Amino acid sequence: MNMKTENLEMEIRSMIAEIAEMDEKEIEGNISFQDELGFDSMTALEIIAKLEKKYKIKISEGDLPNMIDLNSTISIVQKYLR
Amino acid sequence: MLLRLGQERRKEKRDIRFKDRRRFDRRMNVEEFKRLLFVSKKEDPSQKRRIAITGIGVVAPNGIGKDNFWDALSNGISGIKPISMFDTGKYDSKSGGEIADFDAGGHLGRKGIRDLDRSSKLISVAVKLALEDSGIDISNTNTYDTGIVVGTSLGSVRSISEFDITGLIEGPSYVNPAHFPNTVINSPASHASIMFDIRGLNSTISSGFCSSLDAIIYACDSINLNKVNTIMAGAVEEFCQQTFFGFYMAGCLAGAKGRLEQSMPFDRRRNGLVLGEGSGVLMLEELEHAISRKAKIYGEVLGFARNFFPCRKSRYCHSVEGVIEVMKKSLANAELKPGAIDLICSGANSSPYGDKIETLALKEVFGDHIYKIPVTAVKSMLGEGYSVSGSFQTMAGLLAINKGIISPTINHLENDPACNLDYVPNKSRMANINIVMINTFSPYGNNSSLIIGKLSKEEQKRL
Repeated sequence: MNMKTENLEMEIRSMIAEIAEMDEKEIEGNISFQDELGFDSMTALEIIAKLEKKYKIKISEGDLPNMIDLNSTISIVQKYLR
Repeated sequence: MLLRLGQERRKEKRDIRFKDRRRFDRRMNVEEFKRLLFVSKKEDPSQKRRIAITGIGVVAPNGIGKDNFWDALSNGISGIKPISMFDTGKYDSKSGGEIADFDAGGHLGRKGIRDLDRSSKLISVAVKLALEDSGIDISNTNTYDTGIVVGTSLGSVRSISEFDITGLIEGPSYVNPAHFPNTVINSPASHASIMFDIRGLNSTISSGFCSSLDAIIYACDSINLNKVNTIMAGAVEEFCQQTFFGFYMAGCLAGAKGRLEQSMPFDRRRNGLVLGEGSGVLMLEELEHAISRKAKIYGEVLGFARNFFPCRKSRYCHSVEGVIEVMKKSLANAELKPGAIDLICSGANSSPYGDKIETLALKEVFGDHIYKIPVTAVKSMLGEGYSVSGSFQTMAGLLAINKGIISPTINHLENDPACNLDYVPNKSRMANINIVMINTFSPYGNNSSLIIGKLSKEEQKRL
């Protein structure tokens, strides 16, 4: 599956903004999910369920601790899309 | 030989059961239990605490907020309209008491409510309105002295259905975990507690049509047991296709087979109920606590009772004895004679049999007095809100006590010989109302009755 990085970033940013109930512009690439957006384990599961559903991928549990901000989430999704 | 062995074993078991029962009796010595319970609080257990109603929060099909709701009730404005939330093309029944324009974000703020279901949003708004109305600000100093009791029975049906549809069609790993809490029946009460930081007590009562009054009664019991001094008690029910379909298939809804689709309690043409929704919360407070903070007191809880008389399953068939017994017990609890009641807020919901037997039961309990007591049915304007109806009825009673306005039973055009009481037909009425009885009955056997009254003049002077 090929997807332009720009589109992917836009889509995931919009998803994170929706979950964080913030404006997309406020979601910077390195904003911390836990410290700055206040995400907890439940929110992490919600993000994973949404990503898996949208991109038809299966994210390994081992990748969960590495999804700490938008940039890391995008690269993990890219890894599965390749 | 085998027979004798069997007899001996049965005797042994009987002896063990007897010993267990004696142990149980010792353990559950009520007087001792009461003594232990109250000794730490230095309270006299025979002294019943008086409970005031100091706040009203309501989200109803014909008005959001106490003032709008009371205005609508006073003017006989119906909240029942054609259903807009889903397509009713395949059903004979097409109307409901839905709150189509309900905007939770407008009351609660846009953040933090994304994952809440409709029931949780409805109750949270009612709690917020009740808190504002009562003037209570929850803080570290009073949060452990404040509780919440919510009645709901069908509040999770839509959430369960939607969650399961995703799990079954797309697979368990595709469900949204944030939506799982909505699938449990105590989620509305818990979400409200989390949102407003209520830490004293949190309970959910699920007893169908009687949930509202049972929640209020549970709250009163909790105040009487010194658990907390202030409790928000009420109920919530959301309107959705799943519950509509259930009631429709059970043959309970009005409008089937081309009949007139209207909520018209006690009218000869009634042929079933119209579903409604909403949330209603009352702030209940220990009377001295309310007086000490100079609260506005809408009324006082004078007495209550509930019982369960099992009926036949799947049939809308009230038990007359149960209804009679609960009203008598409620009057006894309030230490009142039938003639003391000024108004009855009836649970009649336009069902052919239910309205008739409520009339029969009222005649039995009140005797000749009943022809002088107005009986009003708010479900004519709001529809059958299932769990939440009792809260709406209680608020109609408070309207009468505080403003002297008896809300009407609308859509009442044709008299039924079996229902020949004063139902306050179509137009509200002014009257001096001091004591109101509120009744809710269920076709499955639950019956609850509550009596509320105006505060005496001497106590009003203390405020």
